[in-house]
Amino acid sequence: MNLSVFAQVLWSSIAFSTFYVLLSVAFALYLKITKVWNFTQAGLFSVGYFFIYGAHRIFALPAWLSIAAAILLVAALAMAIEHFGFRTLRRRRSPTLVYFILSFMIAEFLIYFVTLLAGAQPQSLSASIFVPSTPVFGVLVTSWDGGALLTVAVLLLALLALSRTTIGRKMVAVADNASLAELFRIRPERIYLATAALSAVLIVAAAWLFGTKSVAVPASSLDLIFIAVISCILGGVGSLAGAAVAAVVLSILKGFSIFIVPSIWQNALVYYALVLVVVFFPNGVRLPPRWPSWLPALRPAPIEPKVAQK
Amino acid sequence: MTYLAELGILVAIWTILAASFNIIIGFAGLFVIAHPLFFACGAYGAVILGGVFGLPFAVSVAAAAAIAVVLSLAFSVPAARVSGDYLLIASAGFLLGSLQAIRNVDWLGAASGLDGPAIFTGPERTLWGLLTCWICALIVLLLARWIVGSHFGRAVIAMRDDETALASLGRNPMTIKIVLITVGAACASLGGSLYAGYFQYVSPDQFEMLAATTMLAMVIVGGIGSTYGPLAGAIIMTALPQLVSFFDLPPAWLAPVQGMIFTGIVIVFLFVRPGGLLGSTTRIGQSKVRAQ
Amino acid sequence: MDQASLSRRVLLAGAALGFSAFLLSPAVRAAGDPLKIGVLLPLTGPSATFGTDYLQSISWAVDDINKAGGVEGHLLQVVPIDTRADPQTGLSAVNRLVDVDKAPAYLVSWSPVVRSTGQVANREKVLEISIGATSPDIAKLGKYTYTIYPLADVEAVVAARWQVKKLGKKRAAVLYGNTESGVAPARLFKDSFTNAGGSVVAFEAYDPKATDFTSTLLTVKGADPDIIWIQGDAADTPLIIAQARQLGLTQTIATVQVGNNPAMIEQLGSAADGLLVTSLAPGADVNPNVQKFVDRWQKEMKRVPNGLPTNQFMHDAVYVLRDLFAYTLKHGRQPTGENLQLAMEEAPQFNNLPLLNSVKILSANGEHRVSNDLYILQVKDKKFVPYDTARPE
Repeated sequence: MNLSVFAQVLWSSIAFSTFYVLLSVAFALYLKITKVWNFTQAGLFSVGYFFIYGAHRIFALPAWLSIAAAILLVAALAMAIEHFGFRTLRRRRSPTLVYFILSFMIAEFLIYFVTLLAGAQPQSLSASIFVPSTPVFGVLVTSWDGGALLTVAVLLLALLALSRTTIGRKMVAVADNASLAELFRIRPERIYLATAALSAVLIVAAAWLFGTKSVAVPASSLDLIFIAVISCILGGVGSLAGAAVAAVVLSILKGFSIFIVPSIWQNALVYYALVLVVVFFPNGVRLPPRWPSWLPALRPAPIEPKVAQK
Repeated sequence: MTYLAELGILVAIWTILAASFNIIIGFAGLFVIAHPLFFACGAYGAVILGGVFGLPFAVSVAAAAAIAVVLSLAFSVPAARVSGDYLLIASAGFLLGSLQAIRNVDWLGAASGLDGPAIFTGPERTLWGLLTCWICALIVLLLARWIVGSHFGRAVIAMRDDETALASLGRNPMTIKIVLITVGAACASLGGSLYAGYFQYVSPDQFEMLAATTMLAMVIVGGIGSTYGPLAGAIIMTALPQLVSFFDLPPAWLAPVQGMIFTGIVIVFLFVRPGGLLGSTTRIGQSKVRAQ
Repeated sequence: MDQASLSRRVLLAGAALGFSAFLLSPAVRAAGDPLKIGVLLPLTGPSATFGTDYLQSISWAVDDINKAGGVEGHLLQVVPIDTRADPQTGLSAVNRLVDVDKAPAYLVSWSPVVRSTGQVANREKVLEISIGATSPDIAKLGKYTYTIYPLADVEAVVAARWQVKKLGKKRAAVLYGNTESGVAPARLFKDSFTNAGGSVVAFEAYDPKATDFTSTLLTVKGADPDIIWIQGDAADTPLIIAQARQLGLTQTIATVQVGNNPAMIEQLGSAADGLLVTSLAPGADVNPNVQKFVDRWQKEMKRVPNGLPTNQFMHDAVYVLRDLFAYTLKHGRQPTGENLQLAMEEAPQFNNLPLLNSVKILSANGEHRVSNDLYILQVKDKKFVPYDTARPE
């Protein structure tokens, strides 16, 4: 492998990791705050994807309008699932298995519903999936690559900025200890709803990126969500940055591993690696304990309780 | 009549699968979702050992079950020490990885699958298939009932309710978990062998995550942890979607509508009757296993 | 096994009744019992878009034959049953067809289904005609199983030979999906290309669900081929072609019939220019009836059919069965599966087919194949234009 091939594979792997990053962060965000492995996000992805397909490709609405409407729809659905679904299970103190069954069944229900409306033919979200490439320092780059990376960067920075706001701090508090957060008059249920809405933005963004580069059928999201799950675990459950980094690393590993392992064995190896990691390293890849001080803190300072002055 | 008889065969096979799944998830409380893999073991085992090596069907079934037990041990021994979400994810990864591996191996038929030998032959093949499958389904249900009603069963319930307390009494929860997983795997393998023996064809697509959620749905609807719940679940979840056939729907709508009905039933049950049809009305995971 | 894996008897019996009622209008009523033709296709599920189109082409053929008086005083009757492209559903479907509907022959598609239903055909002595499925094993399924559609050993083998002999290519890179329709034909292509005097410089399998083919394509690029052959399907082929062009691979790209799809040209834009695709059925330039067929689709369905070449085979398969029934009845035999199979042995040449011109069944050593010309088309100015015809040796 020479340097130009290395650089090209690296660039393409990073570009292709963008939708996985967004899905992984969406999954990790929900998991971190609500402690729920939310497989309904597979169904929400399909709903968002084919809503945009219908609005943009069939009814010829502008892309920005289709995406905005999709975000509203998916956010509403996500919040409804949280409010009527997971909240009920929380009140009943249901075990994990019930959350899994419910979220998987909802995901499949949504996928069947989307199949009913949109059929099962592979569709892309843009009329053409071919974008001409331009050499940049010997690496062939397309405008899609740049747009995708920019989208991910903007969304992740927005997430980071949000963590510094009041609601962001409340989310962190609830993620740390929901019962304790209640003592500080933070209502976890509202935070969970906000989390659902926030995840929806990331999911729809992932759908748009995926659909402008590839084709999907309603059931494609089930494969994608498993990659998000793997990234969450590898990145350390509870770490959004870890999930994002893991998604990129996974994409890079897949890109380069073809030179060593035939591509048809890749998925099998990824799944088996997941089993090994879960069984032997359930805490995943740790971020370095010392975070460089010149980088913005990943976690904002905790909310200081107001102590009454004597 | 052949149509109804084949429906009956499918219900019997699903009963075996759901009942064996219930042993693992309902009795042991272990979130091992790799059950379709043991189903696949039995199916592929019957096809390869019977078709390629010409072994008698009974021998193929036993050998395939042994392979399923070994496979389940290979997974459960290291994985039994994790629990809850992690066990669920690990078992899902094990299932999906193994199916991908099957797709890459030529002598397992790869993605095309394998044709199996005719076990049930002659003009009455469907009738023989029906009888055999239902006898096996009954055996598995009675086995589950025996497990629950025995001294071992009481240790199982104790482990599911409070593993630490059980360990403090000198019993090893790991041993109990492993025994239950291997028994469940062997029974699922039996279901797979019967399936391959009648339908004479296996391919990896038949054992995907959808099969796991189907079994899960039957266990939930029937009553997780209940002895005969899987039978009720298998009947309802196989028959109900077929009612869609009686509505005047365009062909392209049939499969999605059936899927929506199927998943919708499970979702409704989870909220309205979490204990399932034959379980208690208490919450899943805490329902008492009743000898019925 | 799918929870919705059982045949939908009532609905489809209703559909069959609907077809029958339409066909038995006073203008075409005939005295004899209808001659039943089973049609086992995916009418629901992921492949339904193709399956429902094939059923439409078949029903038009039946309609046309019946309007012209039927077959020796009998009308043809279609019995459509959904297989969902799933072998177990297909097995239930064919069992029903044999036990209940008593059809002596049926048309079936999708390789896994064809293989599983073939066992029933041989056991119950019912004639199975496969169309659209390309697994080479289909030739060896047994006495009662036939194909009128060329198997992979035609498309891949003839294409490979043509590329060496006619196109002058010497270094092929083969990319194939790790599926039933990818692996076997890719191997056949490789052998054929090598036997014809070329060399296969890259032979790469890929996961059909993958989205990033960069590494695979760079491996191909490094091997410096002069032609790239893609043995893929409708979802992955356009992705591979788009990414190949983006990565600067300028070689000729050729692909199988799945690329013969106007939607793919739209998806690829300028990346589709020069693409070579195969077609197993003649185009309108060779057979003017094909244009009339396409026009009928446009007029009645407001679009072109999905998979035009395979639709042509589906349509003409009915005419093949018409000829078999006619031969059988003219010889004073009952229209049973056994006698239809005998007719197939005694009269394997079918001429004057509306859309295919002719089909000849080749039987040897218990295997049944069909010989076929391969039509090569090229994308030029966003359209498929005829390029050449490759003949099997």
